[in-house]
Amino acid sequence: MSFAHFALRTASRASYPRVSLTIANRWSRLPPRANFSAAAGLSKDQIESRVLDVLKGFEKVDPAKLGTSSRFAEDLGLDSLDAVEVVMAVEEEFSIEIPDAEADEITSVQQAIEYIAKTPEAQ
Amino acid sequence: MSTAFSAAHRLYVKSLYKRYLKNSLDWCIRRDKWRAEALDIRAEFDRNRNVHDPRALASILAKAETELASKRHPDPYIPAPFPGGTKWERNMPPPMRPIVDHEAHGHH
Repeated sequence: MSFAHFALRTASRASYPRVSLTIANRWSRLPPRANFSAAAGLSKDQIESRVLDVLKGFEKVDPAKLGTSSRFAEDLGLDSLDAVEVVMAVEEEFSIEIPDAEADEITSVQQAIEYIAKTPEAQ
Repeated sequence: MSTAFSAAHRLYVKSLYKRYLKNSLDWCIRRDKWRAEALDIRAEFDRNRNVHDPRALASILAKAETELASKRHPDPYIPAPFPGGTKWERNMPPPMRPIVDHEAHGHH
């Protein structure tokens, strides 16, 4: 392909307003993710949806049984080592460290949400 | 979940499992590679799941600890606002207590 041909093709394809609109739409459609520049803490809904998204990523978790009130062992059928993995994934999602003793007490989705809500470092 | 193990033992094994996972994650730069390693670690823990003999358990756990210590990452990932992280104790608020007048107190 000659340069002139290529330049013509690129010029005819470029439609800048449409491209920028697409980007804006994509940003608004993205789920809320770690927002390090946020001034205030996380809102309850944000924490809830992000914790649930983390749990949806686990192959052992049945999405149909998943809810904010479900307990790891009884409702979701996770054993204690799976619960460790869940807590680790939650730690990574919010970029915090949960000490072992406190991680041991998190046995349900609701408790995880409450822990994040009372941790000011959670992003 | 009721098992024959004590709460302290369960907490210790969970902590060991987490340290193993975190250490392997520190060494891996790609999630998909790490997933296989995590499954290996899980399989190793599951293999010794039904060991109830205290002596056998002690030797297995000691072996695991030495193995973990031998391949510990020199510069592990620490979340920024936590001890050892990059934002730890940055921009501390200034002390707001009243200023002490040392000369009036006669201390030098």
